[in-house]
Amino acid sequence: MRAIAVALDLLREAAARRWFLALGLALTGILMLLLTSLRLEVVDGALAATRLFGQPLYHDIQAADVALRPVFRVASQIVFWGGLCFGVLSCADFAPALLSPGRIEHLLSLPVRRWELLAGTFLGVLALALSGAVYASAGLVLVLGAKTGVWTGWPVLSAALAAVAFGSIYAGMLAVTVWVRSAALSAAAGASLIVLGLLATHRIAMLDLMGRGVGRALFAGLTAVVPPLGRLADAAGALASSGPLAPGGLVRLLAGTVAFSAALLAVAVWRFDRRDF
Amino acid sequence: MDRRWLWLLAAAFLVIAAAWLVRIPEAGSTFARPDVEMPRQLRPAERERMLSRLKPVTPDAGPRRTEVRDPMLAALSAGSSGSGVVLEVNALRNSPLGELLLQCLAAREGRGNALQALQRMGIDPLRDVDRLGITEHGIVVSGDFRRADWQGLLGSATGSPYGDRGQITTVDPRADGGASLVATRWGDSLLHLGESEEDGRRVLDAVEGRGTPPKPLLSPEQSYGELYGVVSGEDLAKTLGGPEAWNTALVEAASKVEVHLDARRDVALVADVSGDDGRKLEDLGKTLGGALALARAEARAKGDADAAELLGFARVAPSHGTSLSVEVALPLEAVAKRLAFCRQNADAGR
Repeated sequence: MRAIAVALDLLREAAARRWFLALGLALTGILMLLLTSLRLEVVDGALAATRLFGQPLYHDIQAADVALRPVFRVASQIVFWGGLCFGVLSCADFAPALLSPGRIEHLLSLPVRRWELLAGTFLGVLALALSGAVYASAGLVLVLGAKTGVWTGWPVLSAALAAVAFGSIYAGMLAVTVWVRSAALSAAAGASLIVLGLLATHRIAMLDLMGRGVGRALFAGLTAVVPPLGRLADAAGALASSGPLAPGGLVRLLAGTVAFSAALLAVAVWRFDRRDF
Repeated sequence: MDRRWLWLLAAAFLVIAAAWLVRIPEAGSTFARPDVEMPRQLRPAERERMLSRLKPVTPDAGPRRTEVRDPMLAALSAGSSGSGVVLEVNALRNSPLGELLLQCLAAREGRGNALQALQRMGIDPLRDVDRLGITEHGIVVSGDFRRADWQGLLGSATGSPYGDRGQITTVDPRADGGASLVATRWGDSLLHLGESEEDGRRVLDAVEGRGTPPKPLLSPEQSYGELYGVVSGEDLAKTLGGPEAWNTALVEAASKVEVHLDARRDVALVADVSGDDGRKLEDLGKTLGGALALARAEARAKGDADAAELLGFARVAPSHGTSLSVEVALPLEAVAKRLAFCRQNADAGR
């Protein structure tokens, strides 16, 4: 519970920041633009004509839900990768602020365990990422649903995958911050993890191109533990667009990503426990 | 233990769990390139085998009668070919790869066809044939042919005698008008199948040590592996059949390719390419290496994991002066995987 209180405190802090106000306004603006400018009513018109006249007018006709699949796929990719990049930039200074002189001493004087402080910070950021991703995707679903009559919840679920992926990135940022209290370094760690996650997605192809040696072993070791973000993004896209997806594979991928986040958090707590303030 | 270390232990456990969860099973990582010993020289068993095959030349060979030679290699050198390949049939047959190939042969042809037809003629290719050599001047087979029914095989029990132990038989041309076949036997251990009696006589002269000895195609020291041979640059270009300009460039860069294949367990192939122009050879090596890497990446991009895996087993060793090596190390499991359809066919046929 105390971790949740810390998380709520972080959310209050985020609400006071212009970054997140700007994000909320930007997302709302984009959704309003889509709502007023998209002319998707025509997509299902041909189907209606078929129903009316009793025979297909065109053989290459597509149902609206099929025609919208690429839109949902692209939107999920924008939410996923855009969310990761925005999250790294906007959340980089949460942990350094938490550890800033004066504030950390005050927090440690409260009846809150050290690990609860870190867990609360992590959960707060995760909630922030989740709410941003869900707001964007749910808004898109509402706009497209109103225009085409196609209602689906999968894009919202795919946005949750983006939040899980960001969780693994932020865990790394948090772990770096407890060593060196620097927002820039925290952002750099997040960016590095995104790059590593991309490399991990294509690690077999990359390993094929590498000769045996220390470099290859190092690359193989690093990319073996980092979650393959590209595969998560693909899964999010497939989920959003009702594409083929191996449910077992997705569960494993998610479990692995959560385990990686938990591992980095454990390292952060270990270091945080040993630090004097 | 200090409670704080538990966090680190938990982190280690979680990292391992994460790696396991997101990587296993990981497509395309089924077989690693095996660390197999590449065939580079005669191994002790092969040296013994090589020494046991050396025979003295016949007594009427004049001043060279103290020489010893491998009749098979001498027969292959007879036509002064630039290319020739020897297959150690017996050794290959008794290797795991041979077993797999036999299963394929049985599934494809049925054991009742070619193999049994030869067995009825007194030659069991799986037991009596030791080696099979191929040059542009014909095929040389060595082994134990004492039980062979030459009448059934060649249409005549005896041929025209030549030299000390040779017999040359002209087999009737095929009904469909194919070229005539000339079978040359040397005792009961060597059979040459060529297109002219001249070829047969050259083979017997080379084996029995008469006349000017031909330039050896392969020396006994090169007889290692289950398959070995030499291919000239011209023959390689002809075999590959590429565009004229490409062939010319290949011949200019590679004058000779020496091949050795070891199939005692995993399949290891070494092709040593030699040429007179070190710079061109270096370019050829880089071209081959680049082509392999590109093909592998392309196969991966297209999702052809099998092709990518196979290409991953090959590599080009850097050029050293006037030679470079192409090495292929194929795990037996990968070979078995690709020949699995033979076993399925054979089982289905039962």
